[in-house]
This record gives sequence, C-alpha cells and structure tokens, in this order.
Amino acid sequence: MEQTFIPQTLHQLVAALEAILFVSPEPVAEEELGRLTGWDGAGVRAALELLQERMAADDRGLCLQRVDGGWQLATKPHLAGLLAPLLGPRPPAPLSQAALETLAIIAYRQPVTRAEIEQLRGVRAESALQSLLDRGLVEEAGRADGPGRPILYRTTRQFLQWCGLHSLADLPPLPEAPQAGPADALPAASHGPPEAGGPPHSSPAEG
Amino acid sequence: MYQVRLAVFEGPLDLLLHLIEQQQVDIWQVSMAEVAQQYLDFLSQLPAVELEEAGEYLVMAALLVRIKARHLLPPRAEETDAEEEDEAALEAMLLARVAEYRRYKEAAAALKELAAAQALYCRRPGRAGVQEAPAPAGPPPGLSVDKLAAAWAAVQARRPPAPPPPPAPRRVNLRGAMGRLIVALRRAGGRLSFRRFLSRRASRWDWIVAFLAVLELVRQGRLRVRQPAPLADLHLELSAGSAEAEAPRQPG
Repeated sequence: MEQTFIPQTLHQLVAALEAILFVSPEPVAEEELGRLTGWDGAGVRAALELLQERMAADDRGLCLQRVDGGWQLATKPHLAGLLAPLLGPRPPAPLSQAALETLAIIAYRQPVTRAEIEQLRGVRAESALQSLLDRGLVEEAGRADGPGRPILYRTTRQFLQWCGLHSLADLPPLPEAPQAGPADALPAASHGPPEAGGPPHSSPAEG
Repeated sequence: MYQVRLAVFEGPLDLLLHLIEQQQVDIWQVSMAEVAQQYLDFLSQLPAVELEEAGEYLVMAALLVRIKARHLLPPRAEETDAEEEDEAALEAMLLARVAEYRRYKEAAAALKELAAAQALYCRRPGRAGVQEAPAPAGPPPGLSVDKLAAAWAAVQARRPPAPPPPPAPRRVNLRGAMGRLIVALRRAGGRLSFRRFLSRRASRWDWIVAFLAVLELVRQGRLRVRQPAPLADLHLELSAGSAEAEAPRQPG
C-alpha cells in the first residue's frame, strides 16, 4: 500500500509541485495544485514563486509558464533548437494566412458564425475553419438565434496553449480602425475626369 | 505590382487594402476612383483560368465599377440628394469593410508572433500535442520512388486480371449491305424471306448489318416488311416504284 506523501514544508511543497507539473499533460490550475497537495492558495503561490526563482538559474533547463488558466513546465526558449531532432519527425505545417486571419476574427469576436467571418474577410471561410477545427484551435459553441440557426465558433484551451496566453483577457488589444473624418461625412464624389476643372460635388454631411 | 498573381492575396478585401496602402494616405482620403481602376486593371490582365476561380473578386469588381462611375460621371439632373447619399454610403461602407479587415489582418500577424514565441517552450513529447495538425503535411520520411513502385506492384498483383478489352468497333458498310439485299430481292422477284437471306450470311455480324439494311430501306420507303406473328420470319418486299428497277440509289 503506497503512502501518500503530504508536503509539510514549503520546500517539500516546491518538490511536489515540480513533480505534479512534470507529469501533467495539460496546464494545472492553482486550485488543483492546492487540492492535490493539501495546501491553500497562498502557500501554493509562494511555492510556485520559489520554484520559478530556482529555475531561473543558468544551470536549469526548465521554466514555469502561466498559460491557459494554469501552470506548466516547459523548456527554456533558447534551448528549442537543441531539442528539435527529438521532438518528432517534422513540425506540424504552419497555419495558412487564411487560417490565421480566421483565427484572429474568432479570437476577438467569439462566439461568431461562419457568415460573420466571411463578411469580415470577404472570402469563403469553409476550408480555413476546417483547418482550425482539425487542429483543435477552435470549436463549436452552440448556435445563434435567427434564421438557419447557424453554428457559433470560439477558441479552445488549446488555442491559449498554442499562443502562450493565460486567458483570453490577455489577448493583445485589437488594432484600432481609423475613423472616417470629419465625423459622419461621406466620401465626396469627384464628378468628372481629374483633369477637368470645376469644384468637386460634395454631398451634405449626415445630420 | 501587375506581375503579381491573385494567389498572393487573401481575397478582394486584401487586394483592395494593398492598393489603398500603396497610395500612402489615410484610408478615408484615398482616391476610390483610382483604386477602383487599378483593381479592374489588375483583374483584366490575369489569365482567364485564374479568374474562373475568383468569383468573389468579380463581385467586388462590380461594386467598384459602380463606385468609379459615380466619380466619373457628371451628376444627373434628376438624381436626388438621397440617391447621391446612397452612392456615397456604398463607398463609405466598402472603405469601412477594408479598414475592419485590416484590423484582423494585423491581429493575425500578432497571433502568429505569439505562437512562434510560444513554440520555443517545449513540453515533454508523447503528451497530448498542443497542435496536432492533421496527417498530410508531407510524405512520411524515408519514402522513395522505389518503395512507391513496389507498393503499386503489390497492389496490382493482388487484383484479379483485367478483363480483355472490348473489341474495337467495326465499321458498318450499310450501303453495301443495302445493295446486296436489293440485288437478292430483285433476283427473287421482289419478295424474299429474311431468314432465307440470312442463311447465306456467314456471321452474326452480317446478320446485324443485314437487319440494319432492312431498317434503312424501310425508312427510305424502298422496302416493305411483314411479320405474320411475333418472332416469326420477316417477309421482305420491294416497294412498288420504278426506282428499284434501276441500280440501287445512294443511301440518303
């Protein structure tokens, strides 16, 4: 019968967390770390900080990452080149530009329908969507009300892990769209060929 | 720019964005007449096969023609302010769409960088892959032409042998057959049993040709056929008409 080892000191907790994070296939939330070790949130956070400090040293190859609502162990980025031969026959094919743009739209506007995506990109979204679904970066999120009850899409936890974000709130802000100015004026029509003289015919500003 | 192919752009909005940014002014100051013209010029110099796959580009082209027309034509006397505003609104909506598209294009680039940075943090292999792309990103390693050929040969060996190809179609000399039938009929005094006629013919192929000749002669009105009962013999009779006393007519 195995004895469950309950970490009694902070240092023992650090060791326990390191072991848990080593075997976890997914990032582990702080609450879960507390549940597994019998420690409260403050203790877990203190131990994580200590672990992170220890790993920052030059002679350690792993680091702690806060991603997808939890913590994970990963190799330090400068070592990635060394590891490439060990990590599989070939890296997965990179996302196409179409898939990236579709993913950006879903990330910032989720939940969103395929029609909305197509309206924003000006092209059909079917194959890009399928690519993202296959890679587990987006998933279905119910259906929208209204005619046809179209499927809604959102990003997945794997998406957060893919781009290293702790949560969607950590997405970089969407670039601003330049405002039409002066306010509410519509583009004037320049009737007649450019070289013809005469003032442009301007349309009245919207009230 | 005109050497660039459509495949470089992600769609009509992307192409429009490219043309607008080339003008290097604020998007709302851009000359839409010029952009429209450049867009149409670009499409017009593409080979036809690329255009066939580019329906969305053509839909946009139609809108741009309309926008361009507004800039080129003098205002119509009967055009109301409301109509003019509608046309202006179309243009504004298009510019807004392009501006909106640009936001997500830039956001996509930012996501790509985030993902590239994150990719350097490696997890233990054998775990649930963060990004399991579907299989075909390339052929499996160690694949060579010889292996492919050997695999194909093995598949072929397992298949049952192909049936012999059907015989090549033979040409039918209908005129000749019709001529022989007429000759036989005349020799028999204008009446002939089809079975009798067939008995002198060697092969099934000849029988088929002879039957076709009968049909054609009937169609031309030169032959009458009676069949007393189903599946009985055909009694052939030259039609009354002076033509059959002559040499056979050329088939029609």
